[in-house]
Amino acid sequence: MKRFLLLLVLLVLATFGMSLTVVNEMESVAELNDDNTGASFSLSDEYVFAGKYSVKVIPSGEADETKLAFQLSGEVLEGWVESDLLKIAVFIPENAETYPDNYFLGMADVTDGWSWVDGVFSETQSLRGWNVVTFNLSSKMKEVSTTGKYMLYFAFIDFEDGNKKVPIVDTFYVDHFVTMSSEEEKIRLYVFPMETEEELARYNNDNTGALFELSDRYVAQGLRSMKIVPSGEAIETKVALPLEGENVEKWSQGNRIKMSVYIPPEVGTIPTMYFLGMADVTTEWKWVGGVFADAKDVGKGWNQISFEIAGAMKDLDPDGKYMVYLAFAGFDEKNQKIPLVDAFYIDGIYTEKAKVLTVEERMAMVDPKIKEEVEKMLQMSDEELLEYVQRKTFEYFWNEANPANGLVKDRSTGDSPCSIAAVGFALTAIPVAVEKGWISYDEGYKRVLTTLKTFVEGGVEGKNGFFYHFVDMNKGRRVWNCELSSIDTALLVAGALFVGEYFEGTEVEKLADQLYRNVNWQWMMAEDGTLYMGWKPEGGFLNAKWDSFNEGILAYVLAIGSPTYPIPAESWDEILRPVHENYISCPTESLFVYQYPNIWVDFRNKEDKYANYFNNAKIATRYNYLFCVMNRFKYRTYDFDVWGLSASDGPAGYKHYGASEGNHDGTIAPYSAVSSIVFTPDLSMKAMKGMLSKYGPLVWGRYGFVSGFNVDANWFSDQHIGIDQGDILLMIENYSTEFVWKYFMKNRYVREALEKMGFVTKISDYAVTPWYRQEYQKSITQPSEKVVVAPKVAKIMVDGKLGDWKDVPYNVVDEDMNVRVPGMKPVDKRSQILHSHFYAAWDDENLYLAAQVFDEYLVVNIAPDDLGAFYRTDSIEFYLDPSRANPEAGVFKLAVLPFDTEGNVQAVRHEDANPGPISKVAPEMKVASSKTDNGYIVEIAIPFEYLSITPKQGMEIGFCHTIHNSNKKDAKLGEYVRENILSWVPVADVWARPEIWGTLRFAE
Amino acid sequence: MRRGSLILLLVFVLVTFSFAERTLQIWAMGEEAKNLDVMAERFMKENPGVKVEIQAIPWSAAYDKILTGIAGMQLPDLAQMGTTWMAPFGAMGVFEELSPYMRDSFISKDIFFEGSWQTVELNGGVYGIPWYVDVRVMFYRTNVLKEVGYDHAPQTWEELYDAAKKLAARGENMYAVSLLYTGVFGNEFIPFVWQAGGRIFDERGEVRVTDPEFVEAIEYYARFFWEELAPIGGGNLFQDFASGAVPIFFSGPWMVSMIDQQTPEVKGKWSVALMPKKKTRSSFVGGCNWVIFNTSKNKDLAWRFIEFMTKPENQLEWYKIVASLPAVKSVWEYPELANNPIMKVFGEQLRDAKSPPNIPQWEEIANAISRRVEEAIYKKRTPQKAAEALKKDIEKIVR
Repeated sequence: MKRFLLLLVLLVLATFGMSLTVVNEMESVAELNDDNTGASFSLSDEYVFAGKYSVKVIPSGEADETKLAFQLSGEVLEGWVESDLLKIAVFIPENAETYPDNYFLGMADVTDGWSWVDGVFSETQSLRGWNVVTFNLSSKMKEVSTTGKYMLYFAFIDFEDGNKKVPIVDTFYVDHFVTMSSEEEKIRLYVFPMETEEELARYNNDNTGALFELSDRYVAQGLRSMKIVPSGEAIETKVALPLEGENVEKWSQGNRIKMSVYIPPEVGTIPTMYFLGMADVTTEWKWVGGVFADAKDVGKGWNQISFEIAGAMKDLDPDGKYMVYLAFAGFDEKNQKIPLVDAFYIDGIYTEKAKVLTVEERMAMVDPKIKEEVEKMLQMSDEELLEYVQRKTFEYFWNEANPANGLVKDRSTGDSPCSIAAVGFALTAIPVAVEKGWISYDEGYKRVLTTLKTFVEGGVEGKNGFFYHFVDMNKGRRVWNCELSSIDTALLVAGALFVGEYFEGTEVEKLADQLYRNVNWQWMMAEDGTLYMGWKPEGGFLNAKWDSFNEGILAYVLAIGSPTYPIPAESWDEILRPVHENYISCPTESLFVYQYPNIWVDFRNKEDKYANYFNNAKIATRYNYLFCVMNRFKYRTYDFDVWGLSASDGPAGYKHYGASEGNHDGTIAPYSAVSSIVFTPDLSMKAMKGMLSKYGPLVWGRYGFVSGFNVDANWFSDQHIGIDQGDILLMIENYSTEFVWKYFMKNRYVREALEKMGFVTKISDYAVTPWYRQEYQKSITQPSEKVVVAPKVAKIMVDGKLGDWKDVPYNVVDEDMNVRVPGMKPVDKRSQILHSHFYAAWDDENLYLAAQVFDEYLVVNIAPDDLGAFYRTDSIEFYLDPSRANPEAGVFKLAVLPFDTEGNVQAVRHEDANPGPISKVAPEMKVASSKTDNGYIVEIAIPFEYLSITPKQGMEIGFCHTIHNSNKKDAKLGEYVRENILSWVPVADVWARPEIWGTLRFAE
Repeated sequence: MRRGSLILLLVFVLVTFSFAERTLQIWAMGEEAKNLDVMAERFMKENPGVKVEIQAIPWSAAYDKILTGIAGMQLPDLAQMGTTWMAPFGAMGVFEELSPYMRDSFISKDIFFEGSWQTVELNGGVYGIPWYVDVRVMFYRTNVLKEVGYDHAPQTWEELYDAAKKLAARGENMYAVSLLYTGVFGNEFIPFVWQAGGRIFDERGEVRVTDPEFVEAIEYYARFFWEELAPIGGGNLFQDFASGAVPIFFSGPWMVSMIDQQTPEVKGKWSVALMPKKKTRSSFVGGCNWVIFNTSKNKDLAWRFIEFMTKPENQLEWYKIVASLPAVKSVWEYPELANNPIMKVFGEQLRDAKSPPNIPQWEEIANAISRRVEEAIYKKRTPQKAAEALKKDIEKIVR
């Protein structure tokens, strides 16, 4: 549950990364040699891909291969080791008859003598004009020493008739030799390539008198550039370029627009002002925006100009039409803008975007060893496959641990700290490895002993027997200002109790017992009897509590069973258990929530008064599977054999993914489907094989399944997370041998705890007990039988006063009508006043609503322009469901902020059929508010047209009224300070469930 | 004597018990669910010892209820299933294949309207039996049309367009037709495609939305918005119909009673007509089917209930109770339907009515159609370009 802390770290990691390394800029020929092919090299400023010059290669005309070689050493090698691609730019003149169509890169180590390293051919096909030739570096070529010296040999070959080499006679040009990692590969999208007469004909000079000519000299892209001949009179020389169709999409791909500019040596006034402006001409001419390029270094010869585009200049409508204006000018000594006189050249206006490898390309690039391994796995029997997965998964706990103290990494990255939960999983995993013979009994015992000693003897930072969620791998000190975690301590203790039973009668058993006894669960207990999620020295206990159904139920078993600091068994009844049709649900529908408690506690054939928690997890798992399957046309990742939504890494970092709307994006957590094997053996086996056969090499890594993947986003993790590894390994073991359950359930405290919590042995096929099902049903159906009677009235003035309402009876929302939501507190009746007297009435035009809210302190902290989520602070809502009277009508949900910071009332429709500020979506609606001695009044008139009903006596619509309340007197502007939610229908998620709202009846 | 009667009584109790043990569980939705108990009573009378339990589910909760039912393997014997849900839930393999049951039954394909039967066939099997149908027809204000020279409903595309021009020319804020364009309106739009002779897929499964007929339908539909003959968004259908501001719309049989309730003032001033003709006058047929879940332990009983509900006399009864249209063709010969001028139109329309492709991807396809047609309405793309984009969308969805 606390795993979200990781997200931050991930984001930081993601911003690291290597960019491209220039191996040779080709701005000098001094270091180049021809490797005895007779070629000669000179600098050219005619055809330049980047920088000021390129290298003109004049072949001997006799050699079968024309070669160019240079030495590689020093800093460049730092970049080289991180790269797997080398790219060079090659220009083939239009009239060339012989030219390279095949490229070879050879490499030799010359650190100490001369020895061949390796060579690769490029697969790039070249054409006349500028080409970018790519070499994929082989693994041998990448294994360079950064202190070594190497020679690179480029061979340029012309094959005729397929395989006959002919000597290259014609001159060609090379430029800009760079290396990069394939993940950072960028491709240029040319928006205005400056290649043809037809293209130039589309451009105009925006009345600046400039002339444009196509030129085959001074080319940076393709075969041509555009020569601009200024009028010599206009203060600015301009080019107007229409942007539409495909080019609009290209334009929006990057954050920069780049172009090359050539200033001939004879130019008098050098253009040093470069401006890019844009207008939207889709319907009529409308200015979008403009930017200047940083051009202080622009001089004669070639220059690269870069415009930064953002916001409206970047996010274009793909179907829109735009005009791009380039403006050029020079300056005199007094820094006054002066007209340009001499011709100059521009070429290749482009954006850059990261090249995205397709899933197929990625698959092709995977190490053949992994492909082979996956192939082999797919041939295995189910039993063999399961054990193979376990074995590979276990390696994590053995290799990613510190043998000196037993601490285990949170994830497989080099600098990961320890997660104490991962240690709990590791402790449990070690006896599995001992039983399977992967490690010896002694090795296992020693590691377990070391680990427990570390925790019991003060080697890990903690308090009152609880430990910090994340600690450093060596010293066991708290990292990231993380919390002292109750659930993660529980996972650690569960592992400890398990090994205590496995190594019964040894020092391990004693230490495990001691670790458990040290935990002061009573200290972690909140006033209402539920456990806090954690504690921080900086702010004390966290607001969040384990007060509803989730993985926290494991902590309750341990807390109630504690021999030293037990919490009362009644705490178990304090947990909110919402029923989703036929199982108790955690609304995020993350699978791990259901799995974790079932790893250790054998909940099979047991039930308390609420549920059989094993069957419960089984239904939740099947629901998760069905949810994926039903969404398989929205996300191509999902399928009958690719499913499993749970907290995991994803394209945007670590998230609590799950099978609920708005909580999934196509990311699959492989561990979650595999670990479900005790609940859904067939579906889980199918998922395991489905993932391996479809995406095997990309989802199978060093320690088995990776921590997440998303085919829709073309994203595959290459990491492994400790708690996921444990879930996989241990659940498969339970499925195969019931091993974890068997030893854990031997523990006396655990068995006693279950007894105290009211568990009895019972074989059943349901998840929710018939009794609880009925209780829950009662709690949610009773409210929908509530009725507000709205009498017909003579016109009511909407003035924030209740004078007109004296003959209308009021209804009440009181302090006891709390909606239970994680993070919200029930109203504390000893210190708070919070209730509402509310009214409804109607005439032929309007539905009138009013609420007098009694609140001991009114918090006002929302600015007038901050129209989102009023529920952050003191505010009320009315929910109306006119579809009960007219099936064509949509839900109307009104949120009213009695006072913004300027003292005015604000109202919005939200999360309904037509959301938005009232001024936009229901302009005829009236709303007023006023302060009273003990709270506030809100009064509203809603014209019936917005409800799509024509009122008449006896008509009924759905209705509810909710109050949001804050007690924070020093709330900051815009701050989320809500602490209480009261509702006329006090049921979880009432706002999203029109079917359980009460009734508003129109009366005479 | 005393002893004898006691034994008799005992036997009687046992017998009723053994019959009462058979309980048929049914899930039903919406208005149907509220009234189905009347039919269930009769069924129980005909089948002593059988108890029918109906669980009423609001439509808004039905999808999740079925999904969790499958997840928890807690499903009823029998359920009402919307026609467009047949394929998505059918693909989960939870419906009983009914061909074997039909062998010794009066129920056969021929007794139902063709468009309705299409909705029960999935991958060559029969996974449901039609219960009732919905079909869209033209609702129009007779007197308002007369004002612009139409003493009959527009019969063809040309007439509808012509009438629309004249209606819109009546003045400010005057329109002709509501095309019910809100949210996902793929189902509203698709009849125009059929009328033009277009289709989404051909026999080989190739996407045909760039065929001239399909493009023509987009063009025709969008033109009503471009030329402000149809209001974009908003508005109150009933009020606009009653005021005459929008005197034509296309909708289903549920509207008949709703117009009477919502706007009694136009009684006698409106009527219904067949869809306008291009090549055909095709309309959209929806409605609900019966399905038996393959987890049921009372499949024989469930089938008996389906047979009961399919009998023409019971279909008629059901029509009398909730006014939903009978799926069985012969029922339309009863005077209650045959002599009702409004119902007669619905009956005739049913003979030229289709259902969308019965594949689980339909919802996504309908979304894509709505999105692309909307682009044409807002002139973001031409109808041709919109169709081309739609083709790519659909190919991606069914890939």
